[in-house]
Amino acid sequence: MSNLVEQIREALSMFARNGIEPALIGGLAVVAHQVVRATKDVDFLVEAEAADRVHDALLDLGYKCLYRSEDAANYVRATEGLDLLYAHRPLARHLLAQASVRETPMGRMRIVSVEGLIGFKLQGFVNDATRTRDLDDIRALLKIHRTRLDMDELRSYFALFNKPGLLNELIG
Amino acid sequence: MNSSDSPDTHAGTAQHSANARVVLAREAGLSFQPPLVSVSGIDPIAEWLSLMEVVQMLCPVWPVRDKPMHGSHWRL
Repeated sequence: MSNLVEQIREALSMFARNGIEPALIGGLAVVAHQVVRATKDVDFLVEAEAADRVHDALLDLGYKCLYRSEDAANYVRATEGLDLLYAHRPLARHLLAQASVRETPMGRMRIVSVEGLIGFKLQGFVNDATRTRDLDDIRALLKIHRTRLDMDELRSYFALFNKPGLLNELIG
Repeated sequence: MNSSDSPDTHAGTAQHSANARVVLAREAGLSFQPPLVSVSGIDPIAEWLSLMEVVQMLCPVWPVRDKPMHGSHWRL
């Protein structure tokens, strides 16, 4: 367990050294937004302009790059994984800029909003329909945060992925 | 009567004071969110760490991604 904490601390330190301010997304962000489940997913949203710097820094830390495109990258190091999404479109840039700061046992980190996280989870599901966990996460986030969510923002994400009816289905 | 003594002004000042902390945080350039508490009343990340201690004992070898993420619908 301490390995995971250390991995995240090390990643945060690497980002700070390189002047990069990432935002937590993925399973750990789901946890941060009160849906506590087992996950070792370490996913960050970073500005696209920092992709090369982060790539070099992760290789220096011993990671191997499994995949890299203009939108995303996957890195592994022994039993540890680290995934990146690159913010280069206005929506992701906005979500990155609006991410709120949180003190955590791993250190201070920025976490994308619930609405943004749901948008990224939806994107993950649309890209790979076998990732039903993404839908489970969205359902759980909607249940916990239903009364406080910006529904217009959420509707815009579901419309963006041509799934306007799915939001109501997930709300139940 | 001094205009600063008017009830409206006091109400405005009180409102301003109530918002002062938010304004200062924003002026510092940070959107700061205090730790949230889960249903159990514990910070969810601390709760996740406790959960993962147990998960680690039961499942010491966690599956690691062995194939890259795929898809062509990157719109965010």
